[in-house]
Amino acid sequence: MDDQTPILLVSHSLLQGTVAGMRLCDITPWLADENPVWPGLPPLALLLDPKDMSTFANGPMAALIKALAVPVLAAKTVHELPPLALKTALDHRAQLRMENTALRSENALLRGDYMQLQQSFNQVEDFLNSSFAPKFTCARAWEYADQALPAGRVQQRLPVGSAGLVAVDIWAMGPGKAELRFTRPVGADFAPSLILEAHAPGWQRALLTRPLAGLAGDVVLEITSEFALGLSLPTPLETLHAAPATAPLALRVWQGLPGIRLPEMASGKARHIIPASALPEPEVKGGTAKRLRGRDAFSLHPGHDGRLELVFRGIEVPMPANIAAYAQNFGPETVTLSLGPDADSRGRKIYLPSESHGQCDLDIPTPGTVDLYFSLRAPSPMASVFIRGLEICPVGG
Amino acid sequence: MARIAIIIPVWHHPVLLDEAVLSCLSQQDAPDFEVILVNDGCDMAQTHQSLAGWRAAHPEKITLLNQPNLGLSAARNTGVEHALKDPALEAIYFLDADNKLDPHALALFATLLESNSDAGWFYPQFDRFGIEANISNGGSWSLARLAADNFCDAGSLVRRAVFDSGLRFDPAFKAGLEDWDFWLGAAKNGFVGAPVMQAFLRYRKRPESMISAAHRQQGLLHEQLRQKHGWLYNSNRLAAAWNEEWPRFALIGSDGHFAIGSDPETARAVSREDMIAAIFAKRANPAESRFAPMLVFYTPEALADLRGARLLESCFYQLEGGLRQAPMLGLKLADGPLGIRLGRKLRDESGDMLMGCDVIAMSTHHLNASLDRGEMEEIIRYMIENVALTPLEVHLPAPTPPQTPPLEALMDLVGGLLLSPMAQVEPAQYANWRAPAYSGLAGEVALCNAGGRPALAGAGPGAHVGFVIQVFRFGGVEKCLVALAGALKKQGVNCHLFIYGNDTVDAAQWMFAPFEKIWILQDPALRDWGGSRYLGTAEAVAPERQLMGDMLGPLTGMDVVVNCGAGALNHGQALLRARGIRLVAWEHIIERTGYGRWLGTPLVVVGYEAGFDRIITCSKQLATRLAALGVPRGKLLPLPNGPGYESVAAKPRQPQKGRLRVGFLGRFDPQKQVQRFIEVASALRGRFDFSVHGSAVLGSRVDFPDWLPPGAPIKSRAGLDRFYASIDLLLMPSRDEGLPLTILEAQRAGVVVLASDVGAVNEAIIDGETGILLDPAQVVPAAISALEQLDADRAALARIAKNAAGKAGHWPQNAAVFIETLL
Repeated sequence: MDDQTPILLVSHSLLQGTVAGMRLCDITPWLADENPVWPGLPPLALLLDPKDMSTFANGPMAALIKALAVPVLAAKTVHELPPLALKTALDHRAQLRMENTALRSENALLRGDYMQLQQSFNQVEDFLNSSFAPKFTCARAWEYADQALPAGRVQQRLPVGSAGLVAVDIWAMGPGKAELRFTRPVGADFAPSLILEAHAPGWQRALLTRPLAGLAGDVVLEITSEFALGLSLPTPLETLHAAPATAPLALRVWQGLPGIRLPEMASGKARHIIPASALPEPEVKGGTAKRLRGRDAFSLHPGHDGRLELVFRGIEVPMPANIAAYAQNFGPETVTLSLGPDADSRGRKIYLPSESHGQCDLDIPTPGTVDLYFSLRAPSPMASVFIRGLEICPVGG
Repeated sequence: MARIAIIIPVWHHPVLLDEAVLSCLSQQDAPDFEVILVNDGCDMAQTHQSLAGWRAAHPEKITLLNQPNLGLSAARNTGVEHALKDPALEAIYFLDADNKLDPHALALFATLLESNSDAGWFYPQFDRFGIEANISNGGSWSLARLAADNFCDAGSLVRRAVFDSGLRFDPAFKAGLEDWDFWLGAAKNGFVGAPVMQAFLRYRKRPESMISAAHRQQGLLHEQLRQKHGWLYNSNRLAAAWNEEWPRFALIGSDGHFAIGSDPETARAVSREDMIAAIFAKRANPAESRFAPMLVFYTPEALADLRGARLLESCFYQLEGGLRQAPMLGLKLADGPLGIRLGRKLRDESGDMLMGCDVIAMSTHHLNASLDRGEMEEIIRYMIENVALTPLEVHLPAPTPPQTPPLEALMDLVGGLLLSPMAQVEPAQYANWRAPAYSGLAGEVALCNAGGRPALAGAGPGAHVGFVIQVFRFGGVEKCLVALAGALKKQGVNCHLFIYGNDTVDAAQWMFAPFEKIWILQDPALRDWGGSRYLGTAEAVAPERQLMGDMLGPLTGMDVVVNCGAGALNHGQALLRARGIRLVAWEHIIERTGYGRWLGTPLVVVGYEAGFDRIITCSKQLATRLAALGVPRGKLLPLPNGPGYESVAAKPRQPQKGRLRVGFLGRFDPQKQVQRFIEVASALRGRFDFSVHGSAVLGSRVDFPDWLPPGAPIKSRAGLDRFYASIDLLLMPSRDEGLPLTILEAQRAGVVVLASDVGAVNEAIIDGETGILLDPAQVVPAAISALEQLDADRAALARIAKNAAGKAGHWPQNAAVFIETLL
């Protein structure tokens, strides 16, 4: 037998017995030791006659054996040794198995968390790498369409998955409170419910403490409100209609970096972008502006004189802010871009070389709804410029 | 007692298994459930430890079954057999050892089982982690789509009833697709699936896995699937499901009628508002919308006329095919002999052509593209100025003038779309946040329908026989075809006529009577006989793939296809036979060149003999010749011709007392030898009255003497009756013949036929008994001699006429033989 052979620590009177595959050691010296120290692997069990059992229980060895979690069993004769040894071995095996299972269970949880962490981190990296460092994105915008749903309980399936969901804006028809829950059709909520208080008609923002992380799921927004809720235009997809209604709620859905705590995004206080798909159809003069599906951009081409004017009407700027239009120049020549508050004020010009991107911006010192005049000047009609969206960056307090 | 059993087969996933099991044990608000771990003979010690550990820790929830390695299907089946022992079991869920469930999954299962009793199983969305993706399961159930793509993941919840029907996973699919096979089996047993919209299964996607390996063997495994599920892939079932589940046309009438469906005759009526909403739904979610890919604006008059001509389905089929190349198609009705002609693509800058159309077809995709222009004026201008129109001309006798052109229906719909509040929202705002599901549905349907689109309507009950011919005029082959179809129809068989080749159909209306539907596919490539030569006769050139598909697709609804000389069709033999369709060739005559060499389609058919179930010949003589050339006797089916039309104006014949009248009927070409007739007439001029009817063919100019002016070809039954009534003797001095209908029709009318003894003429005439056979080596002197004898012996003339007129017609017997042999 090598050093790995399990040891049974037994009374002297039991030393005559044998147990296959195990080594019997006399406990007598240990019982006499006032400061016992056990070297190596602990014994599998203690098998003691009645006399030694009493001595053991009252001596210093008991504390050591208890600390090592070694079972102590009573045996009167050597004939009892094999079955007791076997039972001890089996119990030990069962205990190890339970412990292993618990460890595996913990590992499984950790692995799942690790996978989620990786994926969230991945999304954060993608977000940072592929955008111009926004904090929030308006993923969907369903505008208010002069229809309302009476106060009460409403369910609205959200048109985005849960990953990154950070806020929704709903349209309150008047003052009052509302409770919002981000629920699953079946299963636990995604986040604790929120209480929203509206003081005046208009958009009201319900903001989660942080964007939802983890694997994407289907979110149903459940609202119990004291005020009537504004509805958007009816859609052909009934699954997106609020229940009970024949149209979806007027709704803006905001996404952020999954699981990342960000500064307070109270209404109008956050830096965010409005992607091209959420911008209104612009008025066009002197060229063409075509909305590109699937690429979330407007494709601009100036007229024969190289000039193009776009007007985005009704852009909501709820706080003093700097507004920037993000543009990419795919044409062969440098173009001049500017963003202004009216037809006559051109704002700051930027020169955008061929195959480059940049922002032309404008300060809006007073909150409200503004019209934005975007101007493009190019040496020839060859120019080809994309507008990807507007960034709203709060300024001041 | 568990309502739901979760079966986890385990093989080589000792670590990831822990996540799967833990996800089961972490369920919230779950109904009673049991986890059945099936160790499929995994050879890893770590697996054994894991399985034993989980079982020991949760004996009340977990059952562990161990078996030697038999594969995924067998492991699942082992779990199924165990689970079914529990009488309380309602459903089984299959979780792969590397996937996991959301904590609400089982609570959701309970809801599903209670809320949708029609569904046999519930399939998840494809919410993947690892290689992260959220992909839609494609929405509502579709048998047709299941044929093309396995949109039901194995991680589905399956009701007990599915297993009680005897269905299990097939161990033969060891390399993969066992779940696809299982769903197809469930569908065969009458069950349907239902989508689960909410995420509950997390599918671990790794770059390499069993399913990715299966995808690399997709061709082989898919073929295995097709072989096993012939009930779907190798029958009309897939086409029927496709037509029912995926409407092919949105119909907008100028009378304000709106309908959606694949068969214009049975399309489901919808309101204008529903039609508009469906178009927007298609824009917002094109992958899952079942809206038709093609809009058809029509006048009710045009539809009624096409229906009356039995051409409605054929025209819609052509419009559908035409939209592959053109953004818009127009169909115009014109007065004339029946026919369909597909014009060249034209730019319609003025809009006149659009205005003049009786039917306008437009792709839904194109309508959406034009809607993106934003304003009505822009849209209409865009359509008129930029859309190239391919006109389809359909000629019908006296079409009904329309009251309101279909362009107005188009304008009305566009107006409705623009004014709809749905038009004010970008489709992207409503797009499904999950990526669209893949579907190769149209390709799979084509693959299983001989490479083409199936017919629009199901063939219906009863036997269906399709007759395919390249040219349909008032000829002998056509009359035989019509006569057999008529006799088959009387005996309960549904006959369909496929005219594949010529665009003009120059035939009398009564010739269409036996047919349920008429399909016309005009393309010069179908008439191209410039292929390689077999036994000295050139075969037809193989049509390119798309045209071949268009040609074969509608034929897949037939039980038997009879090829009446359409050479291009021979190239589709294998594809039609793969669908279990019986193929028949019908041959009539072997001709000779000017130098005496044998020539004709029967020789080509010998080359394609292996692909035909039967070869019908019009005579025993032709059957013998084909047998001699190598066609097995058992494949030959001689069906002797009878008269080619039913007499409509025949009157009792009186014996001719004065000069006998001798007639000729046929083409003025070297085969029919009208020149010999002229020689006989010249010799006997003054003693007999002679008349000739027919027309010259290209390159065969014949000079008739002034006293023998040729009459026009006769193309009506009454005209033929009058012609036969106007003669006592018919002289056919042909160089070659099959078994000419003219002889049989003349005999029926009491006319004595004198014909050169060529081809199978002697099968119709017993010399001196039912007619006179002329020595082909000296036709003219023999004819003169015979005519002189009959003129002298009027009693013999009357006796022969009576004998011949008493012959029984063959078509009812032919139809009976056809049915017995082929149906």
